[in-house]
Amino acid sequence: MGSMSELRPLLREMKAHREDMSGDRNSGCRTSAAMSGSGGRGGSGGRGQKAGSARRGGWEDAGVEFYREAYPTSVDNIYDTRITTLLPSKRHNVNSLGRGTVRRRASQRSRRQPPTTTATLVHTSRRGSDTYLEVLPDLTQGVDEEETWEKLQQIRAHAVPIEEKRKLKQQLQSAPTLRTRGLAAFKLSRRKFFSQTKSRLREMISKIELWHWSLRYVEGNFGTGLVAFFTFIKWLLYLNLFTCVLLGVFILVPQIFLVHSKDSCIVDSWPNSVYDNETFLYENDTNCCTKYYNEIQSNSPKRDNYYLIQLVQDGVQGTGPLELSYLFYGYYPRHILVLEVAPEWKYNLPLAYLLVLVVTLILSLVLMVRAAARGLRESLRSSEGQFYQYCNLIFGGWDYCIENNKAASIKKKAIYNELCNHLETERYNEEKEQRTKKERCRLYMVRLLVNMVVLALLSVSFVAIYKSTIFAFDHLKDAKDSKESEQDKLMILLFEYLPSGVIVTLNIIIPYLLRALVKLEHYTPNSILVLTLIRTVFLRLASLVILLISIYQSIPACPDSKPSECIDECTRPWCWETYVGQQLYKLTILDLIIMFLTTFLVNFPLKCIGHKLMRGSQIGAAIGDIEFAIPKHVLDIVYGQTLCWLGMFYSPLLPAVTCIKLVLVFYIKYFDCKVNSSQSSQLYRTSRSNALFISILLVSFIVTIIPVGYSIAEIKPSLACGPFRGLDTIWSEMLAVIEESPDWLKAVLLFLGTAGFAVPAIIFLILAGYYYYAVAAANKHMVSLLKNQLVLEGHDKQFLLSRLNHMIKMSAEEGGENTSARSSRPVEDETGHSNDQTLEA
Amino acid sequence: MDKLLSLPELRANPFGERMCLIFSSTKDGDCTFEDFLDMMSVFSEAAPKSVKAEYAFRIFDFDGDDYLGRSDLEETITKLVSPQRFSSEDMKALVNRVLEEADLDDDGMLAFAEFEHVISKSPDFANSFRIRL
Repeated sequence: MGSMSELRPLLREMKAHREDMSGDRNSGCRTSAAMSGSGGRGGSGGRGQKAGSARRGGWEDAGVEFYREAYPTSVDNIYDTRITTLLPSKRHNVNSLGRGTVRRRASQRSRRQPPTTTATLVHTSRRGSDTYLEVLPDLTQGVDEEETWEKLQQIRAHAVPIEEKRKLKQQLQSAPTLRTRGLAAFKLSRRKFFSQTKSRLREMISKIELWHWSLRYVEGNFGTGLVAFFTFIKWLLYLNLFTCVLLGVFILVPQIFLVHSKDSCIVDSWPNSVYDNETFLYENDTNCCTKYYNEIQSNSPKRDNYYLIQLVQDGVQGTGPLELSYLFYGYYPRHILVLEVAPEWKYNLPLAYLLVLVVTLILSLVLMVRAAARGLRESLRSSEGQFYQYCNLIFGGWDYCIENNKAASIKKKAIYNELCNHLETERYNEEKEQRTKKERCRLYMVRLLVNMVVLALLSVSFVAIYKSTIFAFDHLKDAKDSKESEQDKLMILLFEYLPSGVIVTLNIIIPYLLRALVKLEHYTPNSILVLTLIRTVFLRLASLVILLISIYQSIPACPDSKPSECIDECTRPWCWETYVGQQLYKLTILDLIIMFLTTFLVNFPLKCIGHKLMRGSQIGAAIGDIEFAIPKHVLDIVYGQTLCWLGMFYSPLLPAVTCIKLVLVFYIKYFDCKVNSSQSSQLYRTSRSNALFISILLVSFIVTIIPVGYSIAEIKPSLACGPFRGLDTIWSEMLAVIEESPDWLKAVLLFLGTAGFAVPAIIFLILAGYYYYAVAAANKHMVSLLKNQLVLEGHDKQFLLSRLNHMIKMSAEEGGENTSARSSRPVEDETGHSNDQTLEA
Repeated sequence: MDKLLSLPELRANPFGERMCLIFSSTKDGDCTFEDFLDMMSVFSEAAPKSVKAEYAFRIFDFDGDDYLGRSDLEETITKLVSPQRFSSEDMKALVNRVLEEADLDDDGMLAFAEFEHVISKSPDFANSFRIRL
């Protein structure tokens, strides 16, 4: 401790190596380190003035310099860099299976000791520019096949060139192994088979990936931020396909292939049928209503002139022949379906309809939460109290997929802008601290004012939508009754599309206003983005909700006079579920048409005018430069998906329609991106974008569950159509089934609905949440403690290294004066151990 | 090396030269087929994150001293935003901020462990350090 004796062996060793230039290469990386790092002792010669005090020797005499050199923060290493290569941490960096195993991680399934002690050791040293390897095979114990196989798999994780990996693999395979027998052999072969199949499957799937080349083009020219958007569309397409398949298999296919008994309508027995016991099969009163409804639909006056236009209109609105088709709820019968050849095989269609829809919604929720959790985990991990803003930008900012020089220069500019932004934000924050009270007050007043204006705008738009819907509905009723003249037909068309038109107009105007307003509020660019997004989402979703409310208003519960009165005086559609389905179907098609029109008839001409006709001028650039604003397009997609979820219950084929629509939308947006848009100057971070898209989707999903759930549970289904006619609510179907199930099942299910289950469950969830929060807080505290400790250790290390350097120099000078006998002690070469020995001797 | 740099994958990359140097077995920038295979396999999507972090560290380590010192960081930033340039105080401020965030033991340079720690927290690295073929 503090004496020269410890350092003497070290010094001797260094001298010996200096003399022994052509030393054997077997001595581990220390040798090469010392040899190739011998850029002379010039590096350490800069402290000549300390030589005087060094002569005196000993720690006590260092005095003032002791403290002056204690905490170096400048780059100049004041210790000889050769010394640093002797540190255990540096040795660990360069040995034993690459850098990763500092953590002494055992192989995943090993039941034996960790492989580092028995495995082959690979040393790589990168001093200077040399790379050489030393491999020490360990043949002390026979290794069995499983371990060999595991090591072979892990070779991939080494960061060495392919040749070395090949050598390593050869070595592992040629080393003598014990054969495994029996059950272990079987398990091993199964594992091998699985992993091979998995990798082959992955390769095959990647070859048949949908839209591979289009995505590659976008990636090469616009960066991965934009690709995230198109990948989102693809993911939604898969989700919708999955929903489609479920609905098709359980609702559509039975309906097509199985048969059911006919509805019989016996007019005379109306008064008695109320007491009919067979709740499923024959309900005469509603049968008559159905019959009447079907007759009305099929006998509606055919307008033979303008047949094609009529067809197109019906196709878009879902009226006419489409109304009584598989597309809408109204067509599905309230019967138990049976197989024609084997009448004992029954299929309860109403129950299936209800259950399949509920299950589909739950499965969609699960899939979305899984996808969102993946993104959330990443963003949480990166911000457990601290987000590495600058490091993330500098080290992870360059997108290696970019192939286009122009795109590269734009990306560079974007990175430059973002870095400048960050620096500015910091300066701005510093300034903000020093803002006077008056200025702060003013800013808050402005913000409050802007928020109120935004609220006012939003409420005005909501009222406008509501009023227009009610207006249209009322006038439609009047106009339909007197449809004679051509003018009336035009009015009918106008009224049909009035609510949708109002929504679309508002969706175009309001975001502009919001963007202009948010500039007044002086937020950071991040906050601006999030705030604008939230407000626009509000607008879009709320307009949908208002539409739903207005539809709900137009199906008032008529006073039930008699249950058999389906022909009543209320002015509501015969089959309100089909009506709702039709509205949503219409909105979907309209959405698609508008996207098409905007891209081809608005953006494309603008670009042509701006870039071709008025080339070079300022105005031309201003008109023609359209940026592909991702948030706006994401909201379009999410809106379409919301319509699909809302309408799924009332129109089982709507997911299929949405699938086709998504394919078309992909190509429309791709054209928009490729041809119309110029490069965006904003940096889109993929990770954040993904999490953002899916969380917006989740929010809209939750918003759609509420109306659908309410309509299932509370609203009386219409008498004339659908699988649930005649019941009080749709949910009572489920209740009836529960009633008829075995007792124990009934008891369990009913118990789940009572308060005795709900309250303890809620309490338990709250406690679990609190526990996890406490654990997380404790971990955070631990992390900050460890960080502080690390800094102190770092300072210690530097201090000690500088003293060591000092000592070595002193003793070297002393040793140079007295040429005493140097015993060239043979150096031991147990790699990894001799070092510690030397330092502890 | 010039032929390599004319490939579409490397042509627009500011770190293209560094990549060729790192992966070349003859250390002068010329790559054999196996070196090229190495490069593409590190940049593929299936490469484990540790391998990518290791090679990213080597790419950013311009002077080859196993540490990312100030000069390395400055060189990285310059290459990243050229032809734009930062003023020298801006550059100093940026490097200071990076060191503040990532240098855990406060020695003025980033060792590999610190670099790997930062990279594992960086959500963008995994997505952007990738070449798709």
